[in-house]
Amino acid sequence: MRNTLRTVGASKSFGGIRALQEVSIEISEGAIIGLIGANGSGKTTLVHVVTGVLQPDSGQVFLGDTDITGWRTDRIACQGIGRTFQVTRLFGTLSVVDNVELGVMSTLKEKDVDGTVKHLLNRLKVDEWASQGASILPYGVQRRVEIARALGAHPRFLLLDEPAAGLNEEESHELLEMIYGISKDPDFGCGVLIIDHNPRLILRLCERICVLDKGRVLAEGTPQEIRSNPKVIEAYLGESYASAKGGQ
Amino acid sequence: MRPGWSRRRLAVAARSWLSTSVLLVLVAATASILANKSITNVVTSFLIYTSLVVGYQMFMGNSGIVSFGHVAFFGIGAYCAALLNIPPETKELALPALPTFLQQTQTGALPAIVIAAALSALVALVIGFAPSRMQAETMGIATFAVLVIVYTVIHNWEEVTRGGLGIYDIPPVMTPVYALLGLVIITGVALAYKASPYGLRIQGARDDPLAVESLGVHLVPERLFCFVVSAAVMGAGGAMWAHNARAFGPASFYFRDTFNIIAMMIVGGSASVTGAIVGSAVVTVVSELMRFAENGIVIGMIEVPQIHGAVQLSVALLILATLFLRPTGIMGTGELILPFSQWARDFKKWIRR
Repeated sequence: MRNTLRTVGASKSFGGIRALQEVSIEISEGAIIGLIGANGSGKTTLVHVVTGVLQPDSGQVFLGDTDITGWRTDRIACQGIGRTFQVTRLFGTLSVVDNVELGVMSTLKEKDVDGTVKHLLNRLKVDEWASQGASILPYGVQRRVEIARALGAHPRFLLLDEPAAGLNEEESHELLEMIYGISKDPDFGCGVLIIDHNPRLILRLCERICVLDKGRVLAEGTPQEIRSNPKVIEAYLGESYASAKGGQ
Repeated sequence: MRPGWSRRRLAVAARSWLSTSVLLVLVAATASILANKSITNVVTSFLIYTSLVVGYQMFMGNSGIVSFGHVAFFGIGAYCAALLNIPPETKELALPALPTFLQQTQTGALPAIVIAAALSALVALVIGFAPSRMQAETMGIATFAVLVIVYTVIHNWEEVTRGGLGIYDIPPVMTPVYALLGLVIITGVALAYKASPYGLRIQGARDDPLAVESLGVHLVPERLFCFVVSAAVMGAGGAMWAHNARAFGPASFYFRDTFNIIAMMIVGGSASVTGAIVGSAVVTVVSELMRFAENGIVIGMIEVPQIHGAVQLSVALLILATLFLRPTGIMGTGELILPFSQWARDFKKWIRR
């Protein structure tokens, strides 16, 4: 249990809208989990609840055996939970290298800040943009810089909120392959939760997948189980996708 | 190297410090060569006042929060240094209600500057605790209250400050060299802070507080630390200023100077330490030129009548022009770095020819 991040019955409402209803999911360190669902299904709300940006109305969030429900965002991050945002939130007045340095410097534990930053810039293939201002980067580069920044703090768990949003199919594929490689990297390996709208990419990349629908967990399992789950097909994937995949 | 510190950032800060120091030495040297008392006074005042602007930049530039209260620490530093260095016989006459130990004390300028910085830091720590917990915009407004509180205390604590009458007979020990030395040290402190993990984290919070928190940075102590360090530098600057001013009253640390310092920051570029220095230089030059206009000038056949308030008016117009033409200020977010190594290579080539 020490190396897991899990929610137990997490619920969150905004007025009359029930964004999350009794959601329980678990991420193991080193695993790569996909979180899919239609718009408004509660994916981002779940990430906000786990990272302390929002407090759940009921339910709990555990890191290992420690109940971290209601902790401050920075305190949760210090426990090794990193994240990126649905709309990138880079530090616009700083350069790319400063952004990544801030991630590395955030803990005051890294002995070789410059070496780690260089390694991250290379790993995420953003080294050629290092001296550029973060606000003028192409969208795909912004996404990668944000991931590099989050990895700089050496998280045990990394929550990526639609990292491929706004990217074309090829860029999305390249980015998700990169994320997969990083999750298995001996230096930066961590449990990864990826939210994405593209089921094709998530089903190919992730070891386990959780499907949210109207704030509830509709299904959870391996990509094969999700592909063949009738509820998921009906609510999210659609018959055409399932039959196309089945035929492959 | 301490964990969490970047060699690259420190190297950039060191190069910028060297470049800025060389230019400041040139300014001070030019003033000395001209040997004109009036110019020497202006340059000394400029160097001291710039120390205050750099101190203010440490907070506003890094945190992005416009503080209306920092001039209060300038005042605390100035009064502290004055009380520590006014000759005992003057204190006996002008401030008879002072505690005996303070009445007999005359520390000299350097200890007074250090004590003034420490006192300003202490006051900032106590006063800044609550504002640091607020949202950035709210903290800015809260600092305005700090200004009013400190001004009111200074104005009414007559036993110690003589209130509106002001205090006098502070030994005028600040020479252009001392002022230059003070500014060079303060600039180094500001650049080192900007390059440090603490500086970078508060700069991140300036751009996006939630993103910084998501990296594990607790904003309250970061903001408070920035506030306290900046206040300490303002206190030191205030002490330097007091040793140049000789006499002053509470009005020296209120709205007018708050406006001037913020104007210098906006003109030079608030996110840049060298921008603070450039802004201070530009506003000082414009103010000094317009001071002539205030008294009326004759240019050839044209006689310009007295224009009351020309200095403040011109500074205000300078702010508007900067915000309109270059909102990030003259220096933007960058620091001045002179290409010394390139110059050295060019010089070697030239010698060989």
